[in-house]
Amino acid sequence: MSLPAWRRWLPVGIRRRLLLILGLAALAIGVASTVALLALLQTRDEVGQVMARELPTSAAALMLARVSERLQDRTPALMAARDADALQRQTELINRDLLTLADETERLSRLVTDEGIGVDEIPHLAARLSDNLRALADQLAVRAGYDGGLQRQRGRLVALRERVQQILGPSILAVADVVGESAPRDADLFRRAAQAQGPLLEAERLVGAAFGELLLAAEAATGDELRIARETFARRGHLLDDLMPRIPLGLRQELAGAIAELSDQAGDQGVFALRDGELAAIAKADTLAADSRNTATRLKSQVDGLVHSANAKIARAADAMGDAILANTLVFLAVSAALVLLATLLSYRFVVRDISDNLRAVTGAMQRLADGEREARVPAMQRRDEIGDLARVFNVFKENAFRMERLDRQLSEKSSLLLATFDSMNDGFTVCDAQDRLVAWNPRFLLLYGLSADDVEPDLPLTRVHRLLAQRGTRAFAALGEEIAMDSLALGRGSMNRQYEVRCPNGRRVELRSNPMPDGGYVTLHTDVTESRAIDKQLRQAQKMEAVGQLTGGLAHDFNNILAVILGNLTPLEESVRETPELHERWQRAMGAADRAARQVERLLAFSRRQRLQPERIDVNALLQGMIDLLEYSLGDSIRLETAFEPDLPPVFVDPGQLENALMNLALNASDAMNGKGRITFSTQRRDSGQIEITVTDTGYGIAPEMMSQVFEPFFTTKAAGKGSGLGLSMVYGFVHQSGGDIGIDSEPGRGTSISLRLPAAPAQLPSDAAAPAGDAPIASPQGRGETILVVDDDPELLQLSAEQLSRLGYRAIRADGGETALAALAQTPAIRLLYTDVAMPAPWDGVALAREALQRRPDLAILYTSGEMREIVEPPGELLRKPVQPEILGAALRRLLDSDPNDG
Amino acid sequence: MMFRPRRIFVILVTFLLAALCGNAGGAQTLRVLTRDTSAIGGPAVRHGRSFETRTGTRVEVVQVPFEQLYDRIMLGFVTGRLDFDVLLIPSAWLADFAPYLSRVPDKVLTAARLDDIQPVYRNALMRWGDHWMALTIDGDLHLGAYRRDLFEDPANRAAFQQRFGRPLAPPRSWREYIDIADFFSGRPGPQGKPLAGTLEAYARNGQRIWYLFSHAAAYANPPDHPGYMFFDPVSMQPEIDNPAWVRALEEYLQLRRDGPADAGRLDSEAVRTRFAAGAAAMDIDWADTGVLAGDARTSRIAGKLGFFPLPGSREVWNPVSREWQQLAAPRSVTFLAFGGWIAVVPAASAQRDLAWSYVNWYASPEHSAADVLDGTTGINPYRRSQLADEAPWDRLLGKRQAADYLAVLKSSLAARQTVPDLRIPGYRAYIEALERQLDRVLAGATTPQAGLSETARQWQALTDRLGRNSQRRLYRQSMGLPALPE
Repeated sequence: MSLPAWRRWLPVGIRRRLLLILGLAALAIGVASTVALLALLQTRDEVGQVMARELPTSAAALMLARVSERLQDRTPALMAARDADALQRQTELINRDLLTLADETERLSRLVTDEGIGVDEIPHLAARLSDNLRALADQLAVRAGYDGGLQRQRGRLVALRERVQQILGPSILAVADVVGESAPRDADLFRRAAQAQGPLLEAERLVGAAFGELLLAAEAATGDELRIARETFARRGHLLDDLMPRIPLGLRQELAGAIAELSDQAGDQGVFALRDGELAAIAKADTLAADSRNTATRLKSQVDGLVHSANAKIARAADAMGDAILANTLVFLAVSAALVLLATLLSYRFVVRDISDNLRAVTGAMQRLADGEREARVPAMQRRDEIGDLARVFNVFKENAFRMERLDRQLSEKSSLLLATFDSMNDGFTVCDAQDRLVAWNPRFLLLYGLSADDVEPDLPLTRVHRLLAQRGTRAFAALGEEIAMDSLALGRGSMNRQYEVRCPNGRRVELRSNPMPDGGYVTLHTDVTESRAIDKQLRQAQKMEAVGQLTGGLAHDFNNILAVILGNLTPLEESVRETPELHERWQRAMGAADRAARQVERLLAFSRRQRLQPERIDVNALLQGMIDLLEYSLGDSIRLETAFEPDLPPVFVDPGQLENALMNLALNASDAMNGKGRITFSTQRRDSGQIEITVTDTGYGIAPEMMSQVFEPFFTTKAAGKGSGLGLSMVYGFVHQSGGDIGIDSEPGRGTSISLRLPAAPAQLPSDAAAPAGDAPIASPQGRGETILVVDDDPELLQLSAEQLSRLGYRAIRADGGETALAALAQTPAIRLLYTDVAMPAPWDGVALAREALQRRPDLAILYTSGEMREIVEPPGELLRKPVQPEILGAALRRLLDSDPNDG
Repeated sequence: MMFRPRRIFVILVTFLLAALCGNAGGAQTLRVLTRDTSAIGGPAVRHGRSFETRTGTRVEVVQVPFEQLYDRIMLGFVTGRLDFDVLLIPSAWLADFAPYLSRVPDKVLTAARLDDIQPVYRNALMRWGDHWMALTIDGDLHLGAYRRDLFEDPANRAAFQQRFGRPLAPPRSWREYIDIADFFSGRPGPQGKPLAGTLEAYARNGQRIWYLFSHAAAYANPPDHPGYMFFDPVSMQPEIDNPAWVRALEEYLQLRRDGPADAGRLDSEAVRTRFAAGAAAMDIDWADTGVLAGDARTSRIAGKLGFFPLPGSREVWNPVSREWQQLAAPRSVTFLAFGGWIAVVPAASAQRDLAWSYVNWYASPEHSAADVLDGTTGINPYRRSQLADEAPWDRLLGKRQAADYLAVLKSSLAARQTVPDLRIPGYRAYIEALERQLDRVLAGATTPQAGLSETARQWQALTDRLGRNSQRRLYRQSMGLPALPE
């Protein structure tokens, strides 16, 4: 495209064109400014001439006016001066102003030569003002003299009044004391006091009033007031003179002296004369002051006229200068406006219109691109100026924008996937930056800690969250279980892996596992471990109770063996000591102790679930109902028994005696927990699991939470030493578990305890009642008939004991200290009818294995077991006697087995 | 052998008397006015007789009840009709009587041996304004007496130690004094009768105000601000209702419960006679109590006595900063309760020289030395020589009691801070205002604070009536303070 001829000489580029136009406009304005400045300088010279002529006159007049005004103000200050110093000070100030007044009057007379301006009166007025003020100062000095005299008189009067008070006061008080007596003690005294009282009080009153008149006179504002005060004072003086003969003799002289001094106040130097003189001086001073004020006012008015005239001239000159400035400014503004308009037109024609057209085209292309038209073309890309540059840059931008949009879409899809994953996680999840501030979290995190959405926000310091949780009762524990402060939870998590457990007040336990991120900060996984921890605890408790049970069982077994030896040795001694009472008594004590030990062992065995039970079908409600009387009797009157039985419960299959023992045990424990006073409730119900639950609830002091895991352990007791064996609850525990049930305990300190025995309901078909009550003690000791018995025990003492027992019962005993020996004896001695063996012997030949082997070799052999613990042995079957075995029990068992032996005729 | 100063004195007095009697012609009568009890009045009569024997001048002693004495004298002065030559009066009245009295002649002062008189009594009792106006014939201060036998009893000591955690010992502070009084109150004494914890006077006209003043002395006199006991010596505003006085009055009331059932009716004479009868573990009284209770002729507890200075306090009210000030240790302040009796001669007496001679005779070192050993004279030690010679005291009280008694008197008189009694014009009216309010407080009709505030209001009115500037000037003089610039 070809350009017009005039445009070819225009510079290329928008900036150069604009600079050219602005340069031309600035040149034109500079010329116009120079012309305006020259005009202003001329006007200033003219105004300067007027000022030099009028300002000194105005200044002198102003100074005169100020001095006049000051003198006018000084007059009241002079009048108000109350002492000589103040008066002197004010007089000096006035004299100084009067000198200034004279100087300025002289100066003004020299400056003002203009006819028609009246300054002739000013020096005259100034001189008059001076004379007046000097006379006023003299008059005020006279007044101050009087005032000083009055002050001195006041001081004297105060002292005089005190003197009169000291003369009259004590006497008046003494007289009043006598007169005031309700029952006069001395009539003469009373009469004298009564006579003196009136004159004394009158004197006190009159003197006080006279002092009052004097003080009033000293302050009198007018001559009339002063005259009235003087007359009143004189009257009081006469009254005092009249009173004097009636004043008691002792005071008369002293008081008369004081009153004479008081009367002096009416004389030439007294208060009245001094105040009179002072009032006259004040009146003269007032007249002079009024005249001074008038003179000063007139002087000021003259001077003000002069000042006004000078100011008017200066104002006219200033107006002229203002007019010149205004005219020049208007011309300058008009020229400047015309030049600016011209520059604007040129700019529009040669620069703006061209730029505007091209920019609009580029903007249109951008708009189309923004509307999604990807094929939008950019115009003016061929141009060489800034518009061309813009079009080319925009083209590059367009390409980049398309690429960015693609990347953004891909990123958005990935983020959505990640967020959905976090939100649906079962664990809580948080991300924190290197400064421990919360960056991201999922809803589960809030749910786990009971936080609301308002509690957290991005960039919230993690310590704030921890503090909030701590306030709500949340506690933190390190990996090894020691408690740490909630505040320290955030420490070090940005640098290494950390694991904590947090316990919420609602019982929830949350495990935190945090891992640092490579770029700083860390991610944390919050897992709800409440359930798994509870299961772990239960498992540990069960394992512990099992271990304790095994340990207790083993100990009981060993101890039982020892007891068997003791009892076995003691029993035969009875006959030989019966004749010696002392020995017999010792024997009985030893036997008693052994029996008690045997019962303790029994309880231990009960706990280790190794007691011999004789289960039956039991109606729990009936059993409990039958126990009520016994319980009431045992627990005493202070305990209230209540029952809550669910009717029509199915029977359970347990040993009724042991169940009664267990319930009695629980009732006694409950009674102890209430210090023998309170309420025990027995309740029964059928649980969903089919178990029958018996609950014993008390209102006692409860069990501390930290002791709950120990209450079933043997020998654990909270009772005082000697009060409890610590085996009661252990027995109950063992019995319930041995019976296929379980036991639960629920307690709160201060509120009471509930113990629930959950027993299985009895099956419809029961095993036969063949489990005969082996424990029932036979009354007689049936004797043997010389039959041969093989007796086996790894404990040599027990072995000897058993052999001796058998001999005494009339049997022939062959001893064997183990399985091998026994089998050998069995092979050698066919006469052996019965194997009497200990159950717990070292492997491989424990009692059961030995019996099995013996039966293999001698199927007709009768088997009798003995053991420290009771359990049922099924294979090979055989009756079990619990150590220590009483001779009559052994005799009966042997007889029963041998007599039922089919081989025995 | 007579001591040299005493011999000089006798020669001087004899010479003086001879000269005076020669002048007077030897047939005059001196009229003496004083109270009607054996105390003060008794010696006046006795010494009057010996004076007559010695000089031929008859001495007529007129004795009137104490409560009429002031009125009679004051009315006499006021009406110019007091025909007595010698007046034996309480020192506090000097303020009202001074305008009507003659000054003590120099020769009488010389004969009285001023240097032998304890400085505190000499300055506080004998001077008014700038002049010697009286001769003192008595020296008063309050002290405490206790039953040494009860205090040393092991059972009492153990019980006291257990109750208060400190040994049973004579009280150093009012707090300790109250504890001890509480401890002994109602406890059976050696005769089996219940004891009073302590004895103080509570009866109107029974000298009770000085008991209150003694309680207040320790609280109301800070070491750095002397003279504030009754008034602010700068403004003459009453201090009688400040917290120190309220505390003193409250404790004084509290102690009434530790006295006998009729404590409210006890005057000071009853205090000392009951104490001498063994009715209490302690008492507060003038030095008379020591002579009366220590002498086996007049006492059931003679030989069992101990003495202590007026109890002090660790806290003291600072009237300038208006707050309680803490001291390092309890501080006892000697209070010249009542001041003592003085002898004056009216200016109107026609026989002034002769009158002063009689006074000199009455108060001579010899006579007074004997009088202070007699519990009925009401005269307590006021001369140095009376305390310096311990032998007569040993004879009267026994060595231990005498040593204790003299030690307490000497230490009280030598105390760093000694407070004179109130002594300004209108004294009786000021005291009467306080007495009226004490009646109401003791009867439970008003509180200590309210009673003392009302007293202060009345004191203000009295001060205004008598001239505040004059009263302040005279109060400062009586308290030994320098005059304020006019």
